[in-house]
Amino acid sequence: MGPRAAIPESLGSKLAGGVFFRCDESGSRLISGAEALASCLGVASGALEGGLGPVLGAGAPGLYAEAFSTASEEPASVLLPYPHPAGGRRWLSLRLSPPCDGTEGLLAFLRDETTLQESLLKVAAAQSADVENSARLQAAVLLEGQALAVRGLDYQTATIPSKQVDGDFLDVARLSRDSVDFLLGDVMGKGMDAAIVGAMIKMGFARSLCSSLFGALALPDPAEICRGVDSLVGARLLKRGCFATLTYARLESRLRALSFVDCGHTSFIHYSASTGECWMVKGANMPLGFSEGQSYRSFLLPIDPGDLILLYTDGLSECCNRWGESFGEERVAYLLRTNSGLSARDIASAILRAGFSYSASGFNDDVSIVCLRPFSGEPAGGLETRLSVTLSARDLSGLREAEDCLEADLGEWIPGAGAETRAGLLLAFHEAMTNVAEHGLGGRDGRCDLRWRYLDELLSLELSYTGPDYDWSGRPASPIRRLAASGYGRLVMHEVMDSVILCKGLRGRKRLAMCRRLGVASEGRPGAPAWVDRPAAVPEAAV
Amino acid sequence: MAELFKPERRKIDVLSSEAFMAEMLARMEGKSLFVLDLSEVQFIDSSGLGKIVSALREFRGRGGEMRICGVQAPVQVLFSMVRLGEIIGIDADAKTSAAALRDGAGTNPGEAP
Repeated sequence: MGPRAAIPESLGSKLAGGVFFRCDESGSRLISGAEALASCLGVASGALEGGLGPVLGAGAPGLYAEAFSTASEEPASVLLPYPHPAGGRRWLSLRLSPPCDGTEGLLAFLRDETTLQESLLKVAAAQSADVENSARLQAAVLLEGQALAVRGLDYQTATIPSKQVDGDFLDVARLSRDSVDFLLGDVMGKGMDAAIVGAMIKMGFARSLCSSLFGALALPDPAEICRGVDSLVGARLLKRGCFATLTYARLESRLRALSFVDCGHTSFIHYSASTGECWMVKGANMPLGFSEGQSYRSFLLPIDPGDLILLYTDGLSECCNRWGESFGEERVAYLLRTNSGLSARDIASAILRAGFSYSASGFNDDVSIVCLRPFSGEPAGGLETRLSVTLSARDLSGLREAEDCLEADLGEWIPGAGAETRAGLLLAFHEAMTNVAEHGLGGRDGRCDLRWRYLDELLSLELSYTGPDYDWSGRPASPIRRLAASGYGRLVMHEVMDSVILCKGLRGRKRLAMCRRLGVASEGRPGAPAWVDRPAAVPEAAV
Repeated sequence: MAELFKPERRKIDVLSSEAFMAEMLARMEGKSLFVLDLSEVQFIDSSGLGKIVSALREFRGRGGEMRICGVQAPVQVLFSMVRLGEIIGIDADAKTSAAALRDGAGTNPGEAP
C-alpha cells in the first residue's frame, strides 16, 4: 500500500494546520469535508455548493485551473492568493492528488500559509535592498581602479555583475616608473556582507602599501604587501568565517616580467606569442583569511612583447550552459589565443561575450577580468638562447649539450656574477633537467624546449615539455637531518632561484619557469626601455 | 687507521652516482673509520649527494664514522645549500679528517645532528 493510502478517510478533520477534503476532478463538486473547508475559507458551507472555483480560485483563477488540469494524472500543488471575507489577502497552499485506491475524485489538502509567505516577502524586500546597496558599493569602491595611460601597456579591466553581488574587487596602481600593479580578488559569499569584506581587503592593500612604501628605498615585493594585508585583515576575516581569493600581480617593464602572489585564486593565463601556447599559472598561497599568519610567496614569470596575461574570477570559467557543463579554463585559453591579435579591450569584450552567451541564464556569479598586453610594439631586448633537446632517464646527452651551452652563455653574459653564482645556476638547471627526465616525461623519451634569457638583472631559465600531471616544483623541506637519500634536487632549485613555478598548458604541456634577480646588469647590452606616460585614451573601468 | 677514498672522476651525477656508490661501499667494507677525499671532484648533483648521505647512514649503522675533505668550490655550493656540515664533518684535507676521526669526531664541532 503506497503512502497516499495512509491519508485518513475522515477527510474533513483538521490535520497539520490545514484541512483535508475530497472533490471531483474539476473541483466543481465537493464530495466530503465541506464544513471544515468552509470554516478555513471563512465562508458558509452553502457557498461551496456551486463548486470550489468561485471561492478558492477567486484570487488567481488561472493558477487554480492549472492545478486541476493535471491533478487527475499526477499530484499537483499551487500557492493561491485568497481574498478572505474577513478582510486582507491570505496565501493558501492547495495540494491535489488522485487517490491510489481507485476511489472517486481527488484528494485535497488546503493550508493557510499567510504568515510564512509574508515573512518571505519581507526577507525578499530586504535582500533586494541589500543587492542594490552592495552593487552600489561594489561599483564605487571595489571595482574602481586607477586609470592609467602608459606607453607600451595596453590593458582592460571589465566586470559583469551577477544578479547578486559577490564581492569581486579589483585595483590598478602605478607605484613606480617601471611597474604597474594589478589586484583582482573574489570574496566568498554574496551580498552586502561580501561587498563590505571586499572593501575591507582593498583598504587593507592600500594601507599595507602605504606602510611598506614609507621610508622604503625600493618597491615592496608583492609577497610583502600581501603579508601586510594579512596582518591588517587576516584575523578579522578568520573571526567572520570569511575568506577571499586574489591575485596581486606586478608588471615590471625593466625586467620584462610579471611578479605575482596568488592566494588560492583561479589560475591566470599567460599567452606566449612566440610559441602560440597558453599557460595556466597558479601560485602557492591559501586564500586570505584561511589560516592565521601564513607565509606569502611571490613568483616571477618572464614576459615578452606580444604576450598576453588574463586574470579572471571563477564566475567566468565556472558559468554553466543548460546541460550543466562549465565554460572551463581551456575555453577561456582558446579564446585568448584566437583573439590574441586584438587590443586588450576587444579581447576582454570577446571573452565576456562568449562566456555570457554560453551560460544558460546569464552569469550567476560576478565575472571580472583583467587583460594585459604589456610591452606591445617594443623590441625584444636582452639576451636570449633557445634550444631543443631530447631527454630520457637513460640518456642524458641532451642535458650535457644544454649545460655546455648555458655555461658558455653565463660566462659571456654575466662575467661579473662570480664563479659561485654561476655554479649554483648551472646546478639548479641540471637539477631541473634531470627532474624533467625522471618525473616530468613520465618515464618516456621526450623533447624538452629550453630557453634562457637575461634582461637587465633578471636571468630566467625555462623548460617546456609534454608529460603527465606531476607537480614536482614545490619547495620541499630539507631532508638532510633525516639522512635521506633523495629530495635534494628540488631544494637546490629553490635555494638557487628566486622563483620556481610549473605552469600547465593544453594537451599535457608543462613549462617550468625559474628566475633569479642577479643584481648585475649585462654590460653594454640592450635592455628594455622604461615605461613612460602617454597622452592616450584612458581604458574604461568596465565594459 | 682511517680508510681514505679519493674518487678520480670529475663529476658525480645522475649518470655516475650508482658506480660511485658501489665503489665507496666496497671501500667501506670491514672499516670503522672512513675519509672521502673529494679534491678531484668538480661537480656533484643531488643524486651524487644522495649517495654520499646514504653511504654515511649505512656506515654509521654498522658502527663506523666518516668525514669528508678536499671539497672544491663548485661542490661546496651544493654542500652549503643543503647544510651537509650539520651531519658530517668537512675538513680541508685528508690529514685533518683522519686526525679528527682518531679523536672521535664525526660531525664538525657545534653541528651535531
